Amino acid sequence: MKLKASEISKIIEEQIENFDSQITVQEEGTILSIGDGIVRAYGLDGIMAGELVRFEDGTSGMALNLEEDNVGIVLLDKGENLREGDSVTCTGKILEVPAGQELLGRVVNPLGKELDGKGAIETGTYRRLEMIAPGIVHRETVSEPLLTGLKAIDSMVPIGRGQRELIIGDRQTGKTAVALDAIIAQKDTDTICIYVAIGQKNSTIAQVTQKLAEEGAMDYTLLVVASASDTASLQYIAPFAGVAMAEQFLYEGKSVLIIYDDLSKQAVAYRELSLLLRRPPGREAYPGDIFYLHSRLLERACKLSKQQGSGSITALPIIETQAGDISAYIPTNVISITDGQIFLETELFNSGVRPAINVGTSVSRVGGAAQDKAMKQVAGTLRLDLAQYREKVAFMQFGSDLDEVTQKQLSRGSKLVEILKQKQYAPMKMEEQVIALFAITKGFADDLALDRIGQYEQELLAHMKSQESALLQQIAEERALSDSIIANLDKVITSFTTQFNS
Amino acid sequence: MNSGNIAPRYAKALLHLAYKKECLDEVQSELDMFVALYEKEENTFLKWAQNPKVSLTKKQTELKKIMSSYKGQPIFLQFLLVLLCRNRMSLLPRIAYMYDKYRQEITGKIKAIAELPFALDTDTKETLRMQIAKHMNKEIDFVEEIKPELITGFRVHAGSLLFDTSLRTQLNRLSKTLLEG
Repeated sequence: MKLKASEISKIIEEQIENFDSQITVQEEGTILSIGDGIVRAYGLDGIMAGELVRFEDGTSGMALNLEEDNVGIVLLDKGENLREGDSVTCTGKILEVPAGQELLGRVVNPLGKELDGKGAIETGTYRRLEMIAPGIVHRETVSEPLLTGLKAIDSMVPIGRGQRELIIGDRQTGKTAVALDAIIAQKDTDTICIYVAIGQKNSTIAQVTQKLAEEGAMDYTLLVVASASDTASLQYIAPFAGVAMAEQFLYEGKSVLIIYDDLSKQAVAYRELSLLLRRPPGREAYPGDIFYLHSRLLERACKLSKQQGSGSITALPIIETQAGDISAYIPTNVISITDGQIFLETELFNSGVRPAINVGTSVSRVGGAAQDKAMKQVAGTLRLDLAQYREKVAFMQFGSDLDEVTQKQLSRGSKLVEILKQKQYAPMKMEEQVIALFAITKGFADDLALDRIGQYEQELLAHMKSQESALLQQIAEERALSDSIIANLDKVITSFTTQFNS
Repeated sequence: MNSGNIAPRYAKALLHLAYKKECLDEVQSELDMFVALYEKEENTFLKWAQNPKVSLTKKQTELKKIMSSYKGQPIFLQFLLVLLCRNRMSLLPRIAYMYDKYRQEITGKIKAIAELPFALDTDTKETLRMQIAKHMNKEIDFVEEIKPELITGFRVHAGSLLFDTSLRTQLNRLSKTLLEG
């Protein structure tokens, strides 16, 4: 139907009269230059830092550099069809991502778009990427344990809900394996897990997703993925997207575990963006605010007070070192921000100690405050025993020349190292860890050969599950070893050890 | 030095001189004309301006010859000669943009490009101009462009703002929503 000119004129007249109510007013600019994922545009006078902008062809970008005569915008999509002179409009929104229960079990990109082919994600809730961390008044001290299921960590480097514990080591030392075991260990708890993959290979991410699905962990896990083939801008915002999604659960009073794998790649992506935006380079060409990049991210992990709902976000950031150098720029930055670190060593890994945790350099600044009493009772002297063992292990080659006390210490130490080894994807419950460590630290296995410790542990736990499940249950409920429990354990383990030896 | 800082400084300098000589608008028109020419012949003009084989004196003489046929403001020719001398000719579009922005701040006047599906009568145009001026709290200089593809409504680019009531935009938005859904 052809509109008459008079009708169109009338429509325009009405629109002019009702000008303020019907009109859309947008900030508009023009592209000056485009290249390397960075667009320079002029004309966006009222733009905000971090605002989402939209180009003519639907590509999104984020304004990062607000200069006097132009705005530096990083592209969030490929932007192959953009040309100089194309227009760009502000959306009026700071970059935000979808959040909520609907995301659990899904694999998404940092903008919240689905990557797993299970259909679009419909959430009514959006959260800003950049938020100020909760203040001191709204927080509580970390006191509840978050179990990773790994004996070496839960006994000597305990993590609490709301803590930031760094996992640091060279490539191929088992950093991601520790993180995945921590996720799998949350299976029968109320903890929601978020795994943020930054700059990883797509094949690695596919393996991780498959493993989590096999272990039944995907029901309570969300994956945020910015792979190596994604733009530097997506790798830069991925951790912020993850923590924004975590904050939705935090303020609902839930417990969240978030893993950033790894922040070294986020630092590299941010360096790339900053150099392209012509920001002044500092040490190792990183921008001057590289510390702030990680500190503002990690500060958002917290334990909220009762008045705020008692929710928590526990962060396990991962950093990759080069040749074991933990005194490099980015590792030292993140070490100073976090509440402790788990240091994984290549030498330990290669000698069969897995997880390859260097107990000497690993620490949890929260410590015993986030540990069950039962674990404290069995692991109290563990660190000291291992330290004494390491001191004396060089003398092992002189086995026949050592006094009996030293030989005993060496034997006990090597058995402790052996009991702390654990298979991948086999996290243990607290009560099982306590029993395994109790058996070794109290000397029940002193007469066993070293190569039988693994089998001893397996059979002891199987025996406890089948014959002494009530005792196991009691330890799980009381979370402490009362005198009666200790007496029972003594009796049970003595009788089992006798059986095992015969 | 960050290249983003250079264009505003040249623009401010030119603005102050034009203000002193009371020829702000004239210099603006000459800038617009020169930038249009620059954008049309960018590769050729810039190559010539930056060619190391041609001496600066020769370039300046040629530029004076070109500009002598066009009786513009002397201050503008001097400005172009300075740009040539400092090898900053590539910044001309950005300088023009900043000059326009500063000029609008001083005069309180903004140039607005109104895209209309057909020519409006004088009264309707004036009503539109006054509404935009009221919203922006500045004087508006209207430039009309006829674009039948808008179907109905209008689009007005005033400063960095875009006022859009065109049916075309709303249809595009609807189409995008349907495709995404």
